[in-house]
Amino acid sequence: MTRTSRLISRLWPERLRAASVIEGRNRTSQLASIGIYVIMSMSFIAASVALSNTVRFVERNAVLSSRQPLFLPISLIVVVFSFMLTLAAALTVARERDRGTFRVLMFAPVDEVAFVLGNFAAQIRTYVVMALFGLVWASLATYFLNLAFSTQVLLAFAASVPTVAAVVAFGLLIGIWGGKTRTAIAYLVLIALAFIGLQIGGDVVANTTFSQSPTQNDPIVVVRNVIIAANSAIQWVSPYAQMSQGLDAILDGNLGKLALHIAVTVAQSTVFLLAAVLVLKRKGSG
Amino acid sequence: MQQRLAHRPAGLIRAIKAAGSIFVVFFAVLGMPIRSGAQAFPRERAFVYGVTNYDGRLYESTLAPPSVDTVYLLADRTNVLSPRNTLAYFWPITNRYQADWELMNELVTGTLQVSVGGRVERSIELSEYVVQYDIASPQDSLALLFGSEARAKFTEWDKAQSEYRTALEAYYAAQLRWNDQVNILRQKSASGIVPPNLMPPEPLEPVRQTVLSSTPAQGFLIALPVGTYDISVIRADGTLQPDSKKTLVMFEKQRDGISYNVVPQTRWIAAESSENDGDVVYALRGSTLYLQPHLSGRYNDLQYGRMLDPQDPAARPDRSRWVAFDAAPSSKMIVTRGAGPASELPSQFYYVRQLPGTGLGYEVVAFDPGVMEQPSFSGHAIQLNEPEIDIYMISDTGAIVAGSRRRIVALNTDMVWMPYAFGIVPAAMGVIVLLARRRATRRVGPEN
Repeated sequence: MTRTSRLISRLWPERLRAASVIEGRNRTSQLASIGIYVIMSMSFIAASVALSNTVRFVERNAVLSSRQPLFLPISLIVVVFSFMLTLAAALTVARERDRGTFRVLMFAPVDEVAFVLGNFAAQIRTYVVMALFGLVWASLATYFLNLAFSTQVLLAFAASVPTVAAVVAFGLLIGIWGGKTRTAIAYLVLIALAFIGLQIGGDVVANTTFSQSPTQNDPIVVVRNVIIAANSAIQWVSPYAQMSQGLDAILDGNLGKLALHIAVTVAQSTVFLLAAVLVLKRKGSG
Repeated sequence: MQQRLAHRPAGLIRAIKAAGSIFVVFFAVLGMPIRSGAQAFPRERAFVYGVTNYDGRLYESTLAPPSVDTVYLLADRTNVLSPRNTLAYFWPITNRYQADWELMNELVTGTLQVSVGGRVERSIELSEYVVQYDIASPQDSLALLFGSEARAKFTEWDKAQSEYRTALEAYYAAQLRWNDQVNILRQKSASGIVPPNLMPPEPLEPVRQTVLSSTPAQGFLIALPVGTYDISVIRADGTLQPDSKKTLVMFEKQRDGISYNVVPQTRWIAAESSENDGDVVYALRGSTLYLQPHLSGRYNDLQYGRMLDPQDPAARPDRSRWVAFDAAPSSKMIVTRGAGPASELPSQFYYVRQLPGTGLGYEVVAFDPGVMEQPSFSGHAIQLNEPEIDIYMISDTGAIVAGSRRRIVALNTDMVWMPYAFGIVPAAMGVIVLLARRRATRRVGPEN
C-alpha cells in the first residue's frame, strides 16, 4: 500500500463521520421546522390544480388521451421541492460563512469535503422523505380519481433524486461562491429561474399554435428558435432539462436513454460538488 | 383699443379659416384614395428542384427554391427531384417562394451528383416517370413508374380515360334519348304513367375510372439509405448548375404504430387522437366512445415537416410527430373488461340524426342503408360501464398488432377534491411538529 492510499484510507472514514454529523444536524433542523411541511402542502396543492385541470378537461370534452397525466403534477412537485432544498443548501453554507461558524467548524476534525458532503447529504435525505410524501400523494390521487396505475410514476420519483441532487449541488456551489448570504441567494434565484424559465418557456412556446403561414421573421418563431438553441446549449448543465428528457424516456419505455440522462445528472452533481469544494478551499474559512 | 378689439375677432376668423384650409388640404391629401392595382410581385429566373416525395402513404409534390438549403426525403423509397428553371417570386399571403410554372418551366438537363464527404457516391441520370394509384386502395396500388414502362402505363391510362370520356358522352346522349322516349310514352298514356312493360331500358352509366395518374415528367429518381448527402446538378455541358448544391437528408420512420381516433358520442365531431402505445384514454363513466384505428408512423418533426414543405419554419428537430395513414386493414379489435373474457368488438357504420325542434341536439344510431343516405362515420363502439377496459388489435394471423394496445379508463371526476385534501396533510403535520417542539422546548426551559 502506498503512502497516499494509506492516507486516503485513514482520511475518508474520518471525513464521512464528520459529514454524517453535519448531515444529521442539518436534516433534523430541517425536518423539525414547519417550512418544509408548508412547502410540501403548497407544492401538492399546485399539483392538484394541474391534475384537476386534466379532470375538468375530461368533463368538458368527454375524452382525453394522455400518456401520463401525473407527470406534469410530479414535475411541479419536484421543481418546487428542489428549489426549496437548493435555497436551503445555499443559505446554510452562506450563513455558516457569514456568521463565522464555518471558521469555528474548521478547528474541529472537519475539512471542506466533509462540510460540502454533509450539507449535500442532508438535503438529499430530506428530499427522499419529501419524495415519499409525493409518492403517497400521487398514489392516493391515482386511487381516488381512478387514474391508470403505472410504474412510470415510481420511476419518475426515483429518477428525480439525481435531478434534485444536481440542483442541490449547484445550490451549494452558488452558496459558497456567492460569499454573502444575500448575494448567494440573488445568484441562485436568478440562475435557477433562468433554467426553469427556459425549460417551461420551451415547452410553452413549443405548444403554441403557429399562425397559418409562419415566416422565419415571425416573432414567435424567432423566440422559439432562440429557446431551442438555448435549451440545447444548457441541457448538459441544466438538471431540469435532463429531468424533462428523462421523463420522456420513461414514457417511451427507453430505459437506456433514461440511464444516460441519470448518468449525465450524476456527472453534473459530481462536477458541482467538486467545484464547491475547490471554491471553498480557495476562499478559505474567512 | 376698441378698434383693436373690433378687429381681433375678424383676424381670428381669418386665421381659423386659413388653418381650416390647410387642415382640409392636408387631410384631403392624406385621404386621397390609393389607386388600386394588381398585386404582382417581381419574378426572378431561378433554379428550383421540383420534389415528388413519398410521404409514407402516397406521393406529394413540393418545391425546393434557392432559399432552401436542405431537402428531406424518406430513405429507401423512390423519390424524384426534378431540376427546373422557373420564375420564382415571394408570395406574402402564404409567406412562401412560389414558382410561376406557366411563364417558365424549363427542364435542366444534366446529371445529379450525390456525394458524401466530398466523394461522389452516385451519378443519377434523368428519367421519365409517372405516379399512378387507384383511389379505391391508394396504398396497395401506388406505383412510381419510370422509363419505357412509365410512358406505356400513361398511354394505357390516357386511352382508358379517353374511352371513359367517350362512353360518358354516349351515356349522356342515350340518357337524353331515353328521357324523350319516356316523355312520348307518358303523353300517349291516358293515366300519364308509362306501364312497366312498355318502359324502355334505361342506359347504364359507364364505370368511373378510379386510377389517377400524373403526366409523364423528367426527374432524378432517388432511393438512398438513411444518411446525409450533398447533391448538385452537373449540366450537359459539364458545368455546375448554380443554386443546385443542397444537402439531402434521407430519414426513416422512428416507429410503426396504430393510432386511434376516439369519437365521444356527446361530441362526435371533436375526436381525440390517441397515438402512443402507452396512451391511456380517459373518459366519463357510462359514456359511449367510437374507436377508429389507423396505421400510423412516428417521424422526427423537422424531417417530416420539411419533407412535406421545405419552407416550413415551424417544424422542430427535438420533437416527434405521429402521422396517421389509412384505416388499419383487416384487423379485429379485441376488448377485455376487467377479469372477463376477451371478446371481439366489430366495426359498424353510424348515422348522426339531428333531433327535430329549434334546439340543438342529435342522436347517433346504427346506419341503415335502406332508409339513410350515407353513414356519418364508422367505428368500434365501446360503452364504458367498467372502471377500465383494455383493447388491442389482432391481425389475420392472430398476432397482436404492434402499438395497438390501449387502456380506456373511467375517471372519477367527482373525486377531484381529494388531491387537494391530501395536499393539506403535510401542513397539518408541520403544525403538529411545531407544537410538539414548543412543548419540548418549554419542558427544557431555564427553570429545569
